[in-house]
Amino acid sequence: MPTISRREFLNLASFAALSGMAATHPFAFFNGEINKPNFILILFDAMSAMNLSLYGYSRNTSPFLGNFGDRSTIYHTHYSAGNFTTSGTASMITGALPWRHRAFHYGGLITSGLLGQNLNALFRDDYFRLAYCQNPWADRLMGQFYGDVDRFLPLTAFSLRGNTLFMDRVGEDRSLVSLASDEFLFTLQDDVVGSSLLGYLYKSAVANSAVRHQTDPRYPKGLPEIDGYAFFTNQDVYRGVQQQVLELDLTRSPFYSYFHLYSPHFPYKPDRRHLQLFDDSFTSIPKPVHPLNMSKGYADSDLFEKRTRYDQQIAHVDSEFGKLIAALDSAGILETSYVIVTSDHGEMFERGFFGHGERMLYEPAIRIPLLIHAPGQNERRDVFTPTSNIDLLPTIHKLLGKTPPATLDGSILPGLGGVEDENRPIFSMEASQNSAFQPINRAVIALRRGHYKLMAYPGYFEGDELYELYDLSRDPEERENLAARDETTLLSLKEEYQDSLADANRHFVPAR
Amino acid sequence: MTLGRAGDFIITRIPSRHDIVLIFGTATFLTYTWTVVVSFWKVPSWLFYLKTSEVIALYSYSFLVNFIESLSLAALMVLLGLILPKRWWYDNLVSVSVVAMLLIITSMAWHSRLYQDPELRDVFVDSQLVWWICTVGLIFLLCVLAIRINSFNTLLLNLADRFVVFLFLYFPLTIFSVLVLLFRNIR
Repeated sequence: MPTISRREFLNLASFAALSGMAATHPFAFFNGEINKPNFILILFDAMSAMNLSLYGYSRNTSPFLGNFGDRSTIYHTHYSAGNFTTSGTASMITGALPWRHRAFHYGGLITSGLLGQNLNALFRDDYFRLAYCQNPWADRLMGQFYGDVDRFLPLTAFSLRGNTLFMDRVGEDRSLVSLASDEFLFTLQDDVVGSSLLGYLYKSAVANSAVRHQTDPRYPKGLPEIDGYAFFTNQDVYRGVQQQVLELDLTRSPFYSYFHLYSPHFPYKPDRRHLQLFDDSFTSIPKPVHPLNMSKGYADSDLFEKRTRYDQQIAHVDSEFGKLIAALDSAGILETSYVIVTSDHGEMFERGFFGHGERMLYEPAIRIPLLIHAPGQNERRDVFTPTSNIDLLPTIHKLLGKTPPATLDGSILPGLGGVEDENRPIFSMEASQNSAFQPINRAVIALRRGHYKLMAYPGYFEGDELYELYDLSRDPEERENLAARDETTLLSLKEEYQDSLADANRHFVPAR
Repeated sequence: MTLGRAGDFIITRIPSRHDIVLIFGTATFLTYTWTVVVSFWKVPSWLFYLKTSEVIALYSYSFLVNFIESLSLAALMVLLGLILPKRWWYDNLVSVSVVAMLLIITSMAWHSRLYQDPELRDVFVDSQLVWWICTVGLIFLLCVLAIRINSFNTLLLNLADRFVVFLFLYFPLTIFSVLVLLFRNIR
C-alpha cells in the first residue's frame, strides 16, 4: 500500500481546505488581504429582463451583456421591489422594502430613519465613493446620502447641454433643491410652473435648446434626453463612465462607483445604426386592458411600435456597455473589481399600457437583470432562484467581510455566500396613492413564492377584492388568472401578504 | 460740480423712493402671489410624502427665487425709465410699470400654461415670436391709454398703492426664508 509523506499530507490538507472555501464562495480567495476589491455598479434605468436576449427574449437585444454574463453570475429571476425609479432605486440602496423606506411617490424621499443604512455607507472605511445619477429622481435620492459620497457628479455630466441651473453647486440640501426646482418652480413636466418669471424663461431656454438638438445625423429620431434637463449621446456617457473608472483605478486605492444611467428609459432614441434593427415578424401576445390602467389605453399596434423602438434602444445601450467592459478589461480592472449590472425597474408594452409605474406589477415591469462579476471571474454561473434587489445591500456586506444587520429585509444572494431558497417570498409594491406618513392601505402588492405569483390591490376595489394568481412556470405571460380556480394557493399567498403588510403597518412609526 | 452729461442724465431719471416702493411692491405682489396660488395645488401631494420641515424649506427656496424675480422686474422698469424717452415712460413711471409688469407676468404664465404639456414643446417655441409681439403691442397700447386717460392712470396708481401692503407680508417671509436656508446649508 502506498504511503504518503508528511509533506504530501500537508499539501493535500491545504488543497482540501482551499477547495472547501471555494465551494462556499468560489471567489473567496480573491477577497485577498493584499488589495480590497473595487465595486462598480452600473444601473440601466428602465431595463426589463423580459426584453433581453440574455434571458431568452427572441430579439437579439443584448449580445454584449451575454458575453459579460459568460464571466459573471447571472440571476435569472431577479425582481425590483418597486416599479419606478424612486421606489426601485430606494429599495436597492437601503436594502428595505418600500413599506419601510417610504419612498414610494414619484420623486419622493427615503424616510430619515433609514438614511444611515445605504450602499454608500458600507464603503465609508478606506474606499473612495463616486456617484453619478442621470435620472433626476435617482439623483435626488442619492442627494440624501450626500455626506456618504466623495465625488458626486452632476446629472448633466457627459451631456451635450445641461439645464439644471445651479444644482451642480448645491451641497447637503441637494434633494430639497431638486424638489423645489424640478417639481415646482422650474418644472418641465406637464404641470403649472411655480415661478412666473424665471420659470418661464427657463422653460423657454430649455425648449429652444431642445428644438435645436432635435436633429442630429447620428440620431434620426433626435438626441436622447432626460426630460429636457440634458441632451446626451450614449457614446459620450459611456466614454465618460469609462474615464471616471480608469481615473479611479489609477489612484490604486479601492473605490466604489455607482452609475445610474438613463438609457434605455423613454424617450427611446437609438442611434442610426440600431434604428434599423428588428424589422422582423415579432409578435406579442394580446392581453386585456388592465382595469386600473390610468393611461390612454394604447392599441396593440402602438405598443408594438414602442416596443420595437425600446428594443433598438436596448441594443444600442448594450453595444456601448460592451465597449465599456472591453476597455475595463484591457485595463485589468475586471481582475480587481466586482462589477454589478442591474436596473431599477422594468418596462411594459401590454394590457393597453406602456412604460412603468402606475398600478402595474406584471413581470415586464418588475423583472430586472442582475449580473455580478467577481474579480478575475472567468466562468459563468446561473442562479434561477427568485431574488430581489433588496438583496444587494446584505450581499455587499458579506463581500466586504461584514455581517449584514438582522434588520435588513433582504438576504445574501446565492452564489455569493447566500443559500438558494425557492420558497422565499419576494415582494414588490406600488403605493403612490398612499400617504408616506400613514400605514399602507391603498397599494398594489406582488408576492412571488416558488413559481406562483399573487397580485393584490388593497384599497382599490370596494366590496369584491381583486386578486390575480399566476403559475409562472406554466404561464410566464400571466394570462391565466388562477384566483378563482386554485383557492388553496390563493388563500395561502393571500394570508402571507396580509400578514407581512400587517406586520409592516404595525411597526410603522410616522416621522413628520 | 457736475458728473458730466451722462451722470446728470441718470440722476434726473432716478425715480423717487416712493415710486420705487410702489414699483417694487407691484413686482413683489405679482411674483410671490403667483407662486403661493400655484402651491395650493401642490401642497396636498407634498404632504403625502414630505415632512413639515421639508415643506417649509420648499417654500423658503421659492420665496428666495421670488425675491430675485421681484428685484429683477422692478429693476427692469427703472431701466426702461432710463432708456426710453422721458414722456413715454419716466413721466408716468408707476402707472406704465404696473401695466407692463401685469402684462409680462400674465403673458408668461398664460403662455406657459397653454403649452405646459412637454409634447407641445415645438409649438411653444414656434409661437413665441408672435406671442411676444402681441404682448409688447398690448403693453404699448395700454401704456398710451394710461398716459392719456387720467382715470385709468389713477386706477393703476391706486392698484400699486394696494400692492404695497403685501410687502409687509412677503418681506418678513423672505427674511424668514433666508434664515431657514442659511440654517439648512451652513450647518
